[in-house]
Amino acid sequence: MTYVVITFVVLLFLNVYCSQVSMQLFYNNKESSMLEKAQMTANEIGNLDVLNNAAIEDVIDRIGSLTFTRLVVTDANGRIIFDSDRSTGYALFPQIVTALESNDVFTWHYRNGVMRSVAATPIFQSDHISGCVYMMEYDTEQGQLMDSLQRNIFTVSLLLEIGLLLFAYAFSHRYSRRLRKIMSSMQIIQEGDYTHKVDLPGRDELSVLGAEFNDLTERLNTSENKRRQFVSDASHELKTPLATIKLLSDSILQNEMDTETTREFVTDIGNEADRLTRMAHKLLSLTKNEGNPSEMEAEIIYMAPTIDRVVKMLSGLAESNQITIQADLTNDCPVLISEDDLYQIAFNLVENGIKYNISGGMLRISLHRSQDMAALRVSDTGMGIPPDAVGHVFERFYRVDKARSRQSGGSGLGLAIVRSIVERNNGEISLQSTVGKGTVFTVEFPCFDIVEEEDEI
Amino acid sequence: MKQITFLLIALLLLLSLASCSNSATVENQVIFYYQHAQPKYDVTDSALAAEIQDGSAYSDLEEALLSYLAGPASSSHVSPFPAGVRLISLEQDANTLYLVFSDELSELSGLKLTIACCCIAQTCLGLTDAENICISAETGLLGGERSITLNESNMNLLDSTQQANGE
Repeated sequence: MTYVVITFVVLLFLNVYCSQVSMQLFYNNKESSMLEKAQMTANEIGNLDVLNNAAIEDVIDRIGSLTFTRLVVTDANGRIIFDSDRSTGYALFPQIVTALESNDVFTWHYRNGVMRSVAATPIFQSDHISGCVYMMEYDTEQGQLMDSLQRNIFTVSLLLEIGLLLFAYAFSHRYSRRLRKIMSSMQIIQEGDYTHKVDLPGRDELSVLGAEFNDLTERLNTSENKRRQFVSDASHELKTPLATIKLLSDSILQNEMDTETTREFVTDIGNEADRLTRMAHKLLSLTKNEGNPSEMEAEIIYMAPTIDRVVKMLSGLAESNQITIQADLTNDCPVLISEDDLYQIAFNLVENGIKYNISGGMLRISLHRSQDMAALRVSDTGMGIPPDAVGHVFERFYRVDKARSRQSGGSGLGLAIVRSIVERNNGEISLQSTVGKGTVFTVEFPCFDIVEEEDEI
Repeated sequence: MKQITFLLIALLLLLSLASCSNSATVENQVIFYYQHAQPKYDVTDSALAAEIQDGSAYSDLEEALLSYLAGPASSSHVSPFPAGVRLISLEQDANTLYLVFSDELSELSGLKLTIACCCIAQTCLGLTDAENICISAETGLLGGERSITLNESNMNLLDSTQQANGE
């Protein structure tokens, strides 16, 4: 509506402006031609020795080309000497009075297709005003031309405005219809239907907005599904140790049992409580990893010392599980990562390799550099991962062998945490597994060589 | 319904009151003619400026002319007469009103004299039923003549060609 009003005002302005300009053009043209004719007549009359009706008539006949509706010649008193309308006495038209005061004057009136133009100029004889020439033209031809011009400009403006109104109506109708579609879709999404899509074909801004909206909805839907899945999985995983604790504590309360059995039950309750605590810590860790990576924490470090520390830390667990650890670590692997992140990655992978290995098995840990990439490989001789499970092992709470995982105190979050940290640090993680032979996890990071500055001598 | 009727009656009363007021004004008004301070060139404008006065304020023509010679009330009008012009005598004979002014009037000449005489004549034609106004000075001449006689036919104040052509 605002645009329509603006264009209406602009068209109105153009209409008025065109009319004014054309009027001014007519005015200027008329003014110069009529004053020229009046002055020429006044000059010719000024050359006469005596001013009388007959002499002035002769002058007008001699000029010949004069066109006027009325021509009046007066003396210096305003007394009429000649009048084409044949009136006598005094003529006190305002233009005559002005001319007798030694001024040229031109006046112009236009109304209803009629132009009334008057020019008056003094007659000089021997440097004295001896009278004036008053010339009036009553022009209907040019008036009608002007009228027709104004009418045409008005008609064109009117048609333009009507066209504009129709266009504005159609455009705003289509625009608002599409906008309403988006708004109603927003309403649907707000009510919780994240699968809803807005259909806005085309290539205009609203279509782009619609596509962005759909993309956002899709992401929202994915995020919502993940959240639901996470809540469901987390509650399920938390429920299991809690149920065990409840069962064990009920057994202690309800049954009379010897001290040894009670101690065993209480130890089990403690283990389950520890598992709950570890799970809570890991969930917190995962939540932290999903946040924006803190680049301030990352620094260029050599990987080998940190991994070596992990190996030493878990050697006790390996020994108790009768697993032999074989580590082959290259020192020249500088990468951009925080030491805590690298420790967490190595710890989870090595711990997994120990937990899911066979008794008397082997765990090989190697760190090598290939051109600009550092690769950490953790290879176990466990039962391997079935091909259909390979795609899911990095998902939260996913376990290949659920019974064994719980038995070993696993939470199903370790590999999810590893992948999250690796991706956060611009690395890549992959695995190859053969059922019955074992699994190889490979983590790669880009190398950042440290250039040591030489002291200037 | 009653309200509408009341409103209509009130409107009719107002209209009739307004028309009574107008007719009273028309009946008593007189017009004094002077000159425009600034020239006006509209199709309905002449060189003379009309000033409407309350006619009931004057008991006779002489009193009206005395007031007229005192000058215009409006600042957009100017008096065409020289200072000190007085009416010496006035006399109406048949259709002609004879006016004699003091000699200050004969100080005027040319266009100024014509305008001054036309102003007097046009004013007097409206004030009396005379058809001719004969103006003279007490002892002096007006533009080299003893008197100037003006009437509606020899005073062309408006170019009436426009009406003849149908505007």
